[in-house]
Amino acid sequence: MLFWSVLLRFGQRLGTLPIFPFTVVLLLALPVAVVGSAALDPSLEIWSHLWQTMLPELIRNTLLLLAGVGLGTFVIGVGLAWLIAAYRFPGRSVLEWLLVLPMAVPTYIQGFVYMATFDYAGPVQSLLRQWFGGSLWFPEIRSGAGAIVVMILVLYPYVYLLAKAGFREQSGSALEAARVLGYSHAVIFFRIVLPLARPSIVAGVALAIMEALADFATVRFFNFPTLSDGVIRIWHGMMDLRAASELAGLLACFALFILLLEQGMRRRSRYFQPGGKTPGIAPVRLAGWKGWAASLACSLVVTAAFFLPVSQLAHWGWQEAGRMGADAMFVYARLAVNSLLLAGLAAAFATAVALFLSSRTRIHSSKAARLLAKLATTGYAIPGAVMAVGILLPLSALDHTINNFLEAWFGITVGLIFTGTLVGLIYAYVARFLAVTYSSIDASMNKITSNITETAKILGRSNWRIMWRIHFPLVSTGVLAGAILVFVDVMKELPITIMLRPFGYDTLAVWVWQMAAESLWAGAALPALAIVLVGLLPVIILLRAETGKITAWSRED
Amino acid sequence: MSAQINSCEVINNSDYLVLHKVSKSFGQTDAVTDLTINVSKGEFFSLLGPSGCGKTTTLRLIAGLDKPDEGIITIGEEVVADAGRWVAPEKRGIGIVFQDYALFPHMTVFKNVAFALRECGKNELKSRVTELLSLVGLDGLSGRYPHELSGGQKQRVALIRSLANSPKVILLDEPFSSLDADLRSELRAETKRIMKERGTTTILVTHDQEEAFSVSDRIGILNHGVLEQAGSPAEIYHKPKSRFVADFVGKADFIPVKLQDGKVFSPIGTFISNGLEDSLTGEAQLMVRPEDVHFEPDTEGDAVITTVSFLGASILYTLRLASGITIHAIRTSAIPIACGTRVNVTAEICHVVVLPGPG
Repeated sequence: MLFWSVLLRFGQRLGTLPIFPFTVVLLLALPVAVVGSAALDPSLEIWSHLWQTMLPELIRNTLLLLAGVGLGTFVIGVGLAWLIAAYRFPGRSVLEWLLVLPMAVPTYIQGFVYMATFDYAGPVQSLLRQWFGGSLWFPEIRSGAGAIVVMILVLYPYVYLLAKAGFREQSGSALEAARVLGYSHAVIFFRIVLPLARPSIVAGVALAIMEALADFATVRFFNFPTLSDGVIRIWHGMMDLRAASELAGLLACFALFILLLEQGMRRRSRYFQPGGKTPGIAPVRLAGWKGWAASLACSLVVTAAFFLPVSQLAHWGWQEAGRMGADAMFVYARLAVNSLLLAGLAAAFATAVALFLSSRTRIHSSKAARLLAKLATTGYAIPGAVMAVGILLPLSALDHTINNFLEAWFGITVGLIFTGTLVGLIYAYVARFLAVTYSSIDASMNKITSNITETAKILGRSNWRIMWRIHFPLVSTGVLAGAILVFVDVMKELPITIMLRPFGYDTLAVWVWQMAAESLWAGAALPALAIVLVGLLPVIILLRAETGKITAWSRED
Repeated sequence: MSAQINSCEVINNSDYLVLHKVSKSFGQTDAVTDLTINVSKGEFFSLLGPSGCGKTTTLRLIAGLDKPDEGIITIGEEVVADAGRWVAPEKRGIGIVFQDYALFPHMTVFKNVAFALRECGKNELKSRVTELLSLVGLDGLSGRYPHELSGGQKQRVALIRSLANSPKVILLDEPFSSLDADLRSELRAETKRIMKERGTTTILVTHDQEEAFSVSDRIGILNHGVLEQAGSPAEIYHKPKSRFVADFVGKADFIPVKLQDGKVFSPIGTFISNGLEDSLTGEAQLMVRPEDVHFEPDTEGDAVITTVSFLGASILYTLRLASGITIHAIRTSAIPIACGTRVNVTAEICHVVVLPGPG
């Protein structure tokens, strides 16, 4: 509250000058611009060196990863969504939400658990060797295929959720019309249902691919270096800022390409999902063995993607808790406090900026305002490694300038006030996750019609009062949901935290990464479990929102 | 109301589409109860009733989109639903037009229509779609997407898509209701013409009695899932079998009368009813339509005008008779008569409809 009143007073001073929103947007777009300029001004020397050493492998692996994850999440996500949306079978209503749970598991946690379980030294292969002898063939886990499978297992819910919504939105009468015209269920699925849900499915696959592109920890566990991993390797290993930023520029191009592809494929979406008055697909009952096969398929996915890794973590965690001393508990507590502090701060700032931008685009409903908001929220498409490089370069330059200036003129040494503290970290989180909270707030802002805003304006209220008294109270639920989503994303975020954290500032995610990299599974288990548990929060919010929608819909009916 | 009887259309194959004692309930609600309907080949049959009367359910049962709990449905010679048999909608050979048209938004007009024509060569496909498009005057629009069409054009595309396969029966689920009035009557006439030219058996579901009258050979009136009456538009209008039917298809007053010796004694005159048995005596209700009632201003008259509603071409008057009963009368609006004027009331009733019992 205090924060708001300060911001409000600050805003009133500024009056109606558009300086403030422009500054906000510029700050958010800065990292992208920095990396972009690095990409636009390539150094031949660096590129020829990169090309000779690691670049071909990085590019090949990245492309394979994106293709594999894209295809896998598409098949599994769409398949499960269709089963759930179009059929009734034993346990469907429970499985419908259980299938979302893997979203709570970050890729790197799923990655290390799977590797620990299925690697040569892991329990599965050991047991198999015990039974069948040492010569037994087992697929190589530390490979691209392993990384792809692990990522599919946690990223398919994006496609599943969006495809399911896409299927449900379809007008039932179009499907009935196709049936009456003499087509079977299967033909209707491929010729009507799938094309109509395309925009939703494309959005889901794009989200999954962007996650895969941003990941560096899982691919490193599986010894399958991609561009994200490359940026961080150069950064940490060689401390070569220039080369890291050039590679980050290439990574940004990949992200931009995915974004453009997604936008291009969704262009006609406005017309594709009419969401007619008629209820959507009426689920058909799968009788006998077919029904049981469907519930078995869904259960297998949930077990492999969620229950198996979580129970493995719980097992390790139990062992760890048994032998844990007071000093270890203190370490865990410090990790938790660090994580919560960072996530809380980032969520608060991101929410403030998103509220401001969203309200602003409504008061000044100009094209420019909307463009600004769009620009400010492209961060979600920017891989964490790119964001970190893009922020570190200008901030460290600024730090050194200020430091040198103060030392030379006043003889004071302030140290690195941006990169040496949490400021840079929070800045990067806000820039990266602003879109998450913005879209949540903006969706609830859509409930505010322009007539409401105009009525308030005609009554002679200032812009700040309209924002404060009219818009904010109406969007409180969306604000809360958005803040929680950012909070959880920051808890899970690894590349930005690794690259921008002040020296020695460990969080739960960093700890999990460090322990897992040393194959100390038990040490990673408890913080990993904590991250998964917090990660369940947005899943619960999501489910509540969905069931809310469903009850509202049936009431309307 | 343009009720016309097409007596010239002799229908040979009676019972082309049959519903026999069909019932369907959704949970506790009975949607359709013990419904029996016979529709002849080439007939244009309308299911008319208020919302929630079960008419759309009936249509969906015929289409096979819902399964009846009981009863038999046959289309052509084939039993499509009974206790043991069930033919899926895609195998019934029917066409359907929904209220929202249900065009596939990701397909052009051409592809929407072509979707219905399956076993067809490429050239034949093209010529048949073109032919269908010109049937409804949509030549040249084959490359448009549904969102680029007007409401009337969408409706026409939906219609030819349902016709493309030459189905045995066409089902129309309130297809005109989202169009504005002028377009609605134009499309009704066009639809009727096309169906008659092709000799297609058609079932129309509607809640608009004017629509049902203007296109149908026969109408079935549904109320709470029960068929109240089926017959030609004229029969339905002039010889309703229940008060519900009389009220639903037009304005009607029911006034208490006495029956004796096959005669109907009412406050506005005595009438002879052909269908009425002589033995029937006692109290009853006589149906009086506003157009049957005549009145003349008369200072000595025993009735009085209580309200005057201007309708355009005509005026609807409410009259209070000496006995306190109110009835309605309709007259041309050329010479309006003021409210409160005393009048003499007479009636000229061609179709005497008497329902038993006091009001």
